[in-house]
Amino acid sequence: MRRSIQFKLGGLIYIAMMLFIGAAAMNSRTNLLYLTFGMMAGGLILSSLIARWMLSRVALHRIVADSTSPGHILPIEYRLTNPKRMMPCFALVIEELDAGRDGAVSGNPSAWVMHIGPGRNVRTDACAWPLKRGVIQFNRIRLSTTFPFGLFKISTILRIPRQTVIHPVIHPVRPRALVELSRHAPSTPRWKQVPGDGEEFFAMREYREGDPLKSIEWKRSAHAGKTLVRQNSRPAPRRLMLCLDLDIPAGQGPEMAERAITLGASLLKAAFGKGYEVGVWLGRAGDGEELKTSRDIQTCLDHLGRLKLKEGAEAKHQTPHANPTAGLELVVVHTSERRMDGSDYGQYHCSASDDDRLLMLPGSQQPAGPSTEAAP
Amino acid sequence: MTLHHWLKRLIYFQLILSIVGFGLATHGLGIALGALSMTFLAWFVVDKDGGKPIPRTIINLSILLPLFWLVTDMPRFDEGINQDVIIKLGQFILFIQILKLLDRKENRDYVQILVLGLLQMVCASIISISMLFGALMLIYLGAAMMTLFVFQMKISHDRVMAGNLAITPRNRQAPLPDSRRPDRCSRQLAYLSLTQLVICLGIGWVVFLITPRVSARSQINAWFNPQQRTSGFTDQVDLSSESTITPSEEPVLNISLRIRGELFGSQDYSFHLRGSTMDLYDSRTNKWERGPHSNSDRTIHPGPGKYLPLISGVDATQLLNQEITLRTGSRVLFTVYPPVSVRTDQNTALLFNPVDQVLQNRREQTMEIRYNVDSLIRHHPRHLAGYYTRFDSNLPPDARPPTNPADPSATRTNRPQYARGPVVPNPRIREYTLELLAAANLGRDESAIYDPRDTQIARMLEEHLRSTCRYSLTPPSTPRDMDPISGFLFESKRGHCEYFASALCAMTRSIGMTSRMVGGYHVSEFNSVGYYYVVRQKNAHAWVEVLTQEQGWVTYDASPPQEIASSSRATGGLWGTLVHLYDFIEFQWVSSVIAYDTAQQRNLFRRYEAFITEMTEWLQWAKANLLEWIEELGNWISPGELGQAAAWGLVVLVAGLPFYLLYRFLRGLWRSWKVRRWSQASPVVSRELVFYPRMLRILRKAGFRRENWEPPGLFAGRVLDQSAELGALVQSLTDAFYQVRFGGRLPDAAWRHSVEQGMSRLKQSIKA
Repeated sequence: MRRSIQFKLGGLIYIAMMLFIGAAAMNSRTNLLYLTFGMMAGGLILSSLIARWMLSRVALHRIVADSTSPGHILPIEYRLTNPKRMMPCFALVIEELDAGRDGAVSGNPSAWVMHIGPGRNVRTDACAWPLKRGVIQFNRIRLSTTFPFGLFKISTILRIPRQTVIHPVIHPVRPRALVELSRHAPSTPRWKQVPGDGEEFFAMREYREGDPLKSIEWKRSAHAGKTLVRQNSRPAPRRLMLCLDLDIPAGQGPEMAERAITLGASLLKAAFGKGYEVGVWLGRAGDGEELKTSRDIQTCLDHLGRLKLKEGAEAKHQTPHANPTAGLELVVVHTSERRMDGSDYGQYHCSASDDDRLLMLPGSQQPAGPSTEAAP
Repeated sequence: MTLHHWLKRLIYFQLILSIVGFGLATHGLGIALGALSMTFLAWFVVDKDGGKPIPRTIINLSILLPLFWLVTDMPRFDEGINQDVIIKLGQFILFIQILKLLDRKENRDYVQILVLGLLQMVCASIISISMLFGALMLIYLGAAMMTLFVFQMKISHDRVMAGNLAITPRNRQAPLPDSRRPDRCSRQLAYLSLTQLVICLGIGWVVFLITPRVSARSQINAWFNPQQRTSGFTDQVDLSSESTITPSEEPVLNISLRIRGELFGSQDYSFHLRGSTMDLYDSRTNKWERGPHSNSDRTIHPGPGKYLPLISGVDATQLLNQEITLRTGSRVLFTVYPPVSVRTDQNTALLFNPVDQVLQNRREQTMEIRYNVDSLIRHHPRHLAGYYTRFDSNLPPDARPPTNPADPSATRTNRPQYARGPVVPNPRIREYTLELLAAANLGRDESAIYDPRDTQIARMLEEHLRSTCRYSLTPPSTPRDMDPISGFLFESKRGHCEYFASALCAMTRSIGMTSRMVGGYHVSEFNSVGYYYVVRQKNAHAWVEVLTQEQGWVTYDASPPQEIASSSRATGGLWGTLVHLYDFIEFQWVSSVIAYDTAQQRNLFRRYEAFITEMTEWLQWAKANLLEWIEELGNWISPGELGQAAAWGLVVLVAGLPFYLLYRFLRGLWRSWKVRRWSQASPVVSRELVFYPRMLRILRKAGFRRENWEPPGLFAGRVLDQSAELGALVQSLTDAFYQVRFGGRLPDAAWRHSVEQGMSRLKQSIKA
């Protein structure tokens, strides 16, 4: 925590007025003006002391959402505590210093508190406006006040690191796209390796009270000398892996890659809505990171939000192989058309420029036919 | 209420204070009432909910009006900055303020209004010495502090709002910071501003006391317009002007009289206070002035705090001591009788003229002056101008004072011409006077300086004027071909004191007597609270001094005494007492605040130094005595080191006991206050609840400490878990506490009995 004091224009005006009154007092030898001059000088001294005292020991806590998406307001809540016994705080300004540095939000949000009584807590809000996919790095907060006379700005810088991920923009997916996705899906069901109500054998275990009698394997029980029951495995949901081919050719901006991410995220979200187990695979484009399947769409979107693009990077196209027997579907989103060199069973290839065809972008024509909810 | 509304109310309140202050300082009731009406109008038209401001173009054009008015008055300011200029500037500022109120107001407009208000109060404080204004100034500063606080909050609020608006996308609505005034905010802000005002006042007072009073060339020395001063006392009498006597109640000076060190005075005793004497009448300009003898002014240096004798060998029992405080400053220093010794608080040089015995400052003083003068009581045989012998040798022969009867040089060939000869070249005055003398069977040798019948003659002429002429503050205009004195004597027979005095002087001098005009005050208003006489502007007066053989210069006042008494009559009854009380307080205010100067500063430092020295000496004395006494006590207990140690222990015990008791008492008060704050209950109830912290204290000794966050019920449960016996007692006491604290039960006898029992059982249990 670092505290600083800064002289303000109001202070200059105040000092000018004070000197004027001092000069008037000396010239006119008016004692009331001497008194006023002295009081103003006292105000100058007290001003800095009060502001310092006011800011001392004030605790600040920031509450902000883990993720958001562009175009949506990101509310930031601040909780301030004034543990002092006598001194209230007035006109506190809370400013984020690092949030707008990367350009993910439109600027540094700030909040204001009129009054915190001694031993009291207050909460106040500020808002950030995410502009694009990325990460908002909250770190330093400046807590300042110009109270009481605006002569000085006393500020304290607090370091409270926090991140909020801005997810890619999610657009509704056209029903046709979901039909295409389901066309590439493996037809055979996949069984999950956990006990459940399916038909596939999972394991044998000792009989417990309450097990249905028909599940007892009599022969094996006789062989083992104890009552054993059969356990089946549970059918697993379909799995969809989003594979992003984000190689950006030299000389091109990241717009196509961003469109590809938006398309992929929209497809991912739509699939998740239909009960898919989803995951993303970023290959080399995302600093060589490879991600595993996750049932949590938030995590997947977080990964997409955090993804950093490397412009003009030479990258070989690598695509993980789909395993139809494992129920894995691959949706490969390419940045350009040239990458679309074929599709295997369980793989669905599309490019960023297909977003108009697959997604219902703002301003595009609403297609006739069944809604997204009616697809597979 | 939002911040903006709050600020607006405070700004209006402050503006009203500044208008009232300015009106009080300038006695401009009309302007103040007009400005207040406009302020209220602006509130209802512009700043109340739904009000609309006047377009800025109109406001800007309207500002040209007062500017034009100021510029057209500028040529009058060539004489330098005077009180008129300050009043004009104040009025101009007031006008601009009102116009700004009618305008749409941004933050910078509020700043302008605040600064203009402060400037207006600065103008007012320069021209006012009133204590009421001083009190108003303090209230204004307190209100200004509060206004600045709120204004500062608004500025920071607006800055945050602007920042948030800047980062908000165009088609979205920015969330605004909450500017509603929270609970307790205004109260705590008021406490803070009050505390800050007190501290600032303390610092301001220290600065006020220790700041050196720079004697820089003051442009404002001439602020007191001579025209206004002539309305009261003046060292020139101008009979050509219409009226020079003012009914103003403004106090000019205070005077305390002492004889042989004892104060005296009453409402029944009145006297004349000499200011300037005039012996030369210019019949062309119709003005009385000091004659060539004014070149004989001698510089004297009384020095601060010391009496400078002007006559040696004076009987101290025959002295009248006059302590005079000139409130508004003046060049002339007033005395009841000619001074024989002088003392001032300041280290300034004075002028004394042995011819007319007038005391003056070397230059015009605008601030308060305090001085002491000793005078010989009237009718004393030595009360003669010729006794100022220490100055006499330096005087030119024609300016020497008329000699005393014992002086053999007072011959016809060597007689001085001071205050002799006809006043106006009108033989009719002499004829008229001789007629009166003849009618009264009186006569006089016109070439002689003294005549044994001079006293009778002067008294007869005085009575004649009183009986034949009428006193009037508005004398009729004199015909062009006639001088005002002749006009008064032979035509109008109506005039004020200056006419009466001029006529008497002219008549006496027309028959060869020596007389002079004296300007000063008729003093009759006695302040029984402060035991001093108050002299106001309206008490300005003129009379005549006639040189007589037996008594020297004798005062004759031809003005009708009943008229003078009625014009200077003070208010009586309860209201009069209140007026005197206020005057006394204001006098203290003026003498210790408004007129605080280098001399007072030096005196203060000297007193402080003396106090410190005295205290140091006393402490050394006390220490030495105490040590001696302890040694004796130790020897008395037991000779040797043991006795000394016992004595020291005893002393520490005895000395520490009062401190300990005081500590206990203060701690009790503090706890009671804490409980009251905590419970927000009435003082009676909170006193009853003191048992609970006492119980906690007892339990703390037994190892049960209640955490700050722990509610009483939870704590009682915890004690119960650890000790069943103690827990039951604590539980019952906590229940009693809850009944009064939260249940609203009034503490009655049964409740008190149960609490007392519970507390005593608790103590016993802990001891056991």
